Amino acid sequence: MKILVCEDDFMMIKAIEHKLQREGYQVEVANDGRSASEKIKAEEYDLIITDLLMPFTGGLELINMTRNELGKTTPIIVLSKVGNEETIIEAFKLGADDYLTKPFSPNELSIRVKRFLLKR
Amino acid sequence: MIYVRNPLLFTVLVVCVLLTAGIKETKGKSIIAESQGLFSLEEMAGFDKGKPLHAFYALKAVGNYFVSQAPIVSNVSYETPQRQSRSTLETLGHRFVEASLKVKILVVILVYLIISVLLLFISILINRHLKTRQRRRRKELKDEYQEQLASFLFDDEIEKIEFRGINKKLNREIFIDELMDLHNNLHGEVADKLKDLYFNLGLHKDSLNKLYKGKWYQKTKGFGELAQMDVKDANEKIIKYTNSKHPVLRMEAQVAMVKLAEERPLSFLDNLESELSYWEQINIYDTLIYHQITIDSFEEWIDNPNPSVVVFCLRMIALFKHVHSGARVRELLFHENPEISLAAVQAMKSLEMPEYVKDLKMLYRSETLQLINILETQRKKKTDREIRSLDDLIPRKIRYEIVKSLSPIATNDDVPFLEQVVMEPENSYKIRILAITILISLKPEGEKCINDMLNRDDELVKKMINNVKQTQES
Amino acid sequence: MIEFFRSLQFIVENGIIVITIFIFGSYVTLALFSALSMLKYIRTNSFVDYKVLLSSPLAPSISIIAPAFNEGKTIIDNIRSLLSLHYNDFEVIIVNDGSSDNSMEKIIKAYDLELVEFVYEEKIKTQIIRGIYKSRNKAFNKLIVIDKVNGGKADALNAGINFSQMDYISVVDVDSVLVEDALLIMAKPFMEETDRRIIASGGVIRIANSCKIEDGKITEVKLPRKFLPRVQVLEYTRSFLMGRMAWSKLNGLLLVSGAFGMFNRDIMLKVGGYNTNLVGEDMELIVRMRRYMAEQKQKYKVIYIPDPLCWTEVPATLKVLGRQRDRWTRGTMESLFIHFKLFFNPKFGSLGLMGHPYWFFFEWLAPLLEFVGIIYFIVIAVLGIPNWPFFFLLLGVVYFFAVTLTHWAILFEELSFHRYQKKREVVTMLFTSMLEPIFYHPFILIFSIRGNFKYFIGEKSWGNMDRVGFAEEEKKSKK
Repeated sequence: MKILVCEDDFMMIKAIEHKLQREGYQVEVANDGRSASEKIKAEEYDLIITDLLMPFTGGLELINMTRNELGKTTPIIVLSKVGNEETIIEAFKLGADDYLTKPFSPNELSIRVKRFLLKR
Repeated sequence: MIYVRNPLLFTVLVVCVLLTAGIKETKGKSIIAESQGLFSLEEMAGFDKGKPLHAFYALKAVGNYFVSQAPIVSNVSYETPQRQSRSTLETLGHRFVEASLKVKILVVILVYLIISVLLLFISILINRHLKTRQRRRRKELKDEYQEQLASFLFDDEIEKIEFRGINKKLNREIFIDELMDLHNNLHGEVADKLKDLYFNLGLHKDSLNKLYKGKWYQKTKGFGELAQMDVKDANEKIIKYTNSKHPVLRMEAQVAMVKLAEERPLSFLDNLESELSYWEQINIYDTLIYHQITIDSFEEWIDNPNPSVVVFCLRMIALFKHVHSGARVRELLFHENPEISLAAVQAMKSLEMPEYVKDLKMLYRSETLQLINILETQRKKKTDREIRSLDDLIPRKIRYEIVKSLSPIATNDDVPFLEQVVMEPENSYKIRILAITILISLKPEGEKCINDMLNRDDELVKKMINNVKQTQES
Repeated sequence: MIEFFRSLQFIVENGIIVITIFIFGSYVTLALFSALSMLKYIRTNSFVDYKVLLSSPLAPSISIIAPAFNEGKTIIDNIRSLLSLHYNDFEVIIVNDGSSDNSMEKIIKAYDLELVEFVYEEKIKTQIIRGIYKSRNKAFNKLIVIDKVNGGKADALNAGINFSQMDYISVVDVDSVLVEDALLIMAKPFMEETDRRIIASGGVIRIANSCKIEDGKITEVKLPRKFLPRVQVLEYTRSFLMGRMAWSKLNGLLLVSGAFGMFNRDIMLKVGGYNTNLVGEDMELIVRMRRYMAEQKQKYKVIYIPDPLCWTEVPATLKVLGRQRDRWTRGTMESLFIHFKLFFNPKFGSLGLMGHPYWFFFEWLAPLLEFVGIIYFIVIAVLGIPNWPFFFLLLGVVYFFAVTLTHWAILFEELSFHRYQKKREVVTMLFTSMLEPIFYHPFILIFSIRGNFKYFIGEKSWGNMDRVGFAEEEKKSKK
């Protein structure tokens, strides 16, 4: 199972990467919106975890691109510090499947990931 | 607009210029003459002779001047040929001593400036060199600590990690920063692990030290760390800063107390003397949410003499939807302080309590009357700026907020009221469009009213109605 | 007769000495104030988590207004850059000021725009609005494009102000590149105000020439290759870090640059928006807003934020620089003369007693004085003999003072935001500072005099600003 993590914070990447790799998933990382969109266009992933605030393309635009332009059904989990109602609603409207706010528990994240991947 | 620093300096060129004109000094002596006693006025063309033939004298003198240049010791003074054998340095020194005060000062300034340019040049380069090295080292350390912390948390195999150089204070600071950053983003089991590490390594002592000994910007860092790591011992120390005159210290202390306090996290509101700024309010609210701290009631501060505290409570009541405080909020609708009154209306908007519709409408009417009075007096004064609507006058948009607060709780009984709002030509577009939006949602009376308005002559109203309908469709 | 000239000479000379001491003194004072102000700012904000504003329901709403005229080459990227700013409740209003190129078609196509009907009061009179557009694509729902008949930058801004319903207005040049957190950082001081209301805040303008820009973000900061923009880096550093910070502290700031600033929308409307008859509309608005607050007897502040938030391209040729500078001169004169009532008027507080007079003497009059001085010097040189050693002594003092000041500015920059990372760049800056007084300043003087001349003969034009555009700059750098 291949997961794409779009996040610019080193520690976050490490935290998510370690946890997911231990669960046996293959993890690829994109540090900014641009490389994230390139990767999504080029490859197929089983799950995408994305932050909203990244350099270049933002998370919301990324979701929009994946769902509406590319038409992919890859499950998307948003992991962001931004936790206000409007943004959450916006993310879901654009096609996100789940939304986690920071601070987050890596254990919780891992369970949610499992849930989505089981469905596939 | 921003070029000017340089020209200003060069205005001093003007100084040069005009001062050099001071050769033609009122005392009839040239400055050079003063300083060297070598040239006489007859050598120079005199401005005061006022004859056009001057130019020729001038040219002659210029010629003389340049001819006699060399060691600036003029060949006029034939009687002291031994002067020419003195060293240049002595000559300069001699000249300096004999110079006028003006010249002396200038030479001193010049030397000072040249030295400072050189010193600055060198120090900038040295600083750059040192800083680059320092930054590189810090980055290396930071990356290393990050890796180690990540392994510590997620690799079960590793039992103990040696964090390099952690006995040095500066390194510990970097480590603490990384630890805090990580802890900030995580919660649960891993967060606890980080906290244990923090205590085991004795880092809480560093944070406490910042509190006791540091300057204000160090103290605030200490507050943040202690609050993040839940060091309850620090409570008494921090609490006294919650009323500090220094805005940053005050806010950071308040935010820290919200997290650390055992009971009554907002106790600092009791005696707050300074105004609670909007930024402080945002931060306190953020802390409450972030750490999931519940406050049962904000009513205990609703009578606080500090108006910003009252406003804050109202905003919190709104955000946390404390419907049980509805009655207290209602009282404040008619408060004399316009900010409190506005905050109360906004709280009502959030609370959505139909029992207070009457009060809101009453407030609207009294505000409208007030504004009409002001409008009349303004118009009598004939101010040059045209006042187009009532809401132009007072920046607080209380009437708009009142209508907004009616939006979720309005009923068919309120249709006449809303109709009035729409049809009043002196109301702002914004408030009228809002009233239309509400009317459309009220069936059947609201809809009927809208249809009536469409049949009237008022083009603007029709336009507004159509616009609202169009927006709702998309 | 002779006595008269002599006493005149005496007065003038000694007067000049006094003014000089004053000028030197003021530079040093301003530099000191700036240093203190910057230190406080950096200490206060180094650990601030601006992201709090990002997710707070209490955060204020902001409208970014960017007037656009014939920016067809770069407009798509510019808009994208603005839309990607990190903030929650904001909108980007692009006002197409009757462009004669294909800007509108490009934008409509790239952002999938459709004409939308909006009903709102136009509180400030502007040229006719042809249409207002929003995007069909939800990802661009923060974008509003106002298409209107040409009326000039001020008019376009007014159209944006009319449309906006938000708390604050941020005025930007459409081709400025803003740092991602720019809105967060700019908004924070407005939130911190207590007894003094902040009506406007200005940001530092940094020079983007030769910087690497990708997808509307500065990815690498580089010192400009060409001499002219490089010298302007020094100029701007001095002016912003050693001048405006001080004025911010003293509450005497008369100018918030049109390239990036944030304003309280209510006050902007109260004073009637920008004056469309001027070339220096940005400065005049601030003066008028300040004047309004003073007349209303309300405590207020205009502040400055030293964080490098905005990067923009500066003229790289003398021709374009000249047009810009003489326009600035005319703008300064407009503001100073329209509001001449403020001059040393205690009724207007620090604005009247310090701000306006300082700008009057030091920003407007100084170049004129210098010019007069040079003419005088030529006259003296012809009629009499200048005291050459003394002359060079003074020239030396002046030159080294200029260089010292610039070196201090470079040091300030080093110790604070140090955006120029390579050591070579610092050295280049230091050497450039020694060339500046000789090879740059005289032109600035000429442009200023020309500006004065143009003002008095009533010229009102802006001149073509010949934007190179960032994409082009990139192509050049790759060669």
